[in-house]
Amino acid sequence: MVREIDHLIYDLVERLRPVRALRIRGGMIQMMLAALASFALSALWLDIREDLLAGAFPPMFLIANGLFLILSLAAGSSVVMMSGPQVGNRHDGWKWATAMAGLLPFSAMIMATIHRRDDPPILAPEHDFYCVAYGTGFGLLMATALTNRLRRGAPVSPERASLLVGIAAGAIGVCAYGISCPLDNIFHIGIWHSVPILISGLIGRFIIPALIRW
Amino acid sequence: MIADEASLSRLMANAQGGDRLAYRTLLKECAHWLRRYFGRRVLANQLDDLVQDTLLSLHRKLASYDPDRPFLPWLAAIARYRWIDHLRHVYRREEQALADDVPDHGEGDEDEIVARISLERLFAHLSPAQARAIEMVKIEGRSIAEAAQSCGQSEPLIKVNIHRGLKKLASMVEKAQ
Repeated sequence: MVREIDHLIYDLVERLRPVRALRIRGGMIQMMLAALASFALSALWLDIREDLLAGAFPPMFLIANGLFLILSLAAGSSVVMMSGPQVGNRHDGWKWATAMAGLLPFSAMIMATIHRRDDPPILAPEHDFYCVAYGTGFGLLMATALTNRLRRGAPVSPERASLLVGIAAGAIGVCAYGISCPLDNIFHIGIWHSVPILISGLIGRFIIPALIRW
Repeated sequence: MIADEASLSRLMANAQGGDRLAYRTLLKECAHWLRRYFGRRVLANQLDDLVQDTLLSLHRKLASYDPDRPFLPWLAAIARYRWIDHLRHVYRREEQALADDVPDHGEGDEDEIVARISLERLFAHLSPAQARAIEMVKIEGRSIAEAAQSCGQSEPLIKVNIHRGLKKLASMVEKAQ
């Protein structure tokens, strides 16, 4: 049996080719570039809100998109860390970021239960669908970048890593679309800007593991 | 003799650059290290298969090692992943005794690192019932019925404990230290 191992080692040595090491720094840069590309795509494809172009930033816009951006970067960073396994790796930051971003749909539901006549409408069908579709679509760049990273790496929790790819993609997608979405009320942002994250997370959780298992 | 962390990291970095001599030395050291790492957590007749599987994974995932980080925790994560995968696939009864001839981990400066990344640390996160069920059925190779009789648990409970225990182990690969 020892000879078998010697043969295996001989064989593996013969097959050795130089490889480019997956460094954490490189993964973070790739993730940031994917995020920037998502914003660029959104800006080129759709019209940026006029108030943003004029330098006016509504508080709800800043808070909501700030939370989504943090969520995406936290989940994406965890994916980068998970691509290079280490006993002792810690990548729990995404849980706190998810809890913080979860305040938006939670608040929307509470506000919906005490909805008053002069509040903004809970549903805005002419916008809701586009937010879900574009938010999910603009996340594809991030999803592709992170999935490629995991395929080259060695994730030891493929299901968890896949879920995080979906969350990171959905969050950056909806954040990128946010610069075009004209609605700032809590009902629309809390519900319809959270749905792409949910959808992307589910797609990631159930589709990506088959692509990255090793 | 097993090389120290710094030497292994250096060998790995050179291997990633295509240095075959460094890679051969590294693989031999890793094979030796893995035999001791899996030690008493694998049946003796399965030990070499598991070591070979892990070396193959190391080769396929050579790029996933970041030279800026320590080597042994990386190797241990891959070894744990392969070991849990191995446990999932072990169903048949094995008569053979555990690998009694495999020495425990060595002495010296590496002891603390090795202890923190050991399989025992991973096992410590299971409930006693889960650990016992996995030990008896998956590691010692006993049947579900034998394990149930020995533990005083029902057969379905043994299966549930194995299932939940393996799931827990899989979720703890990087965390347990």
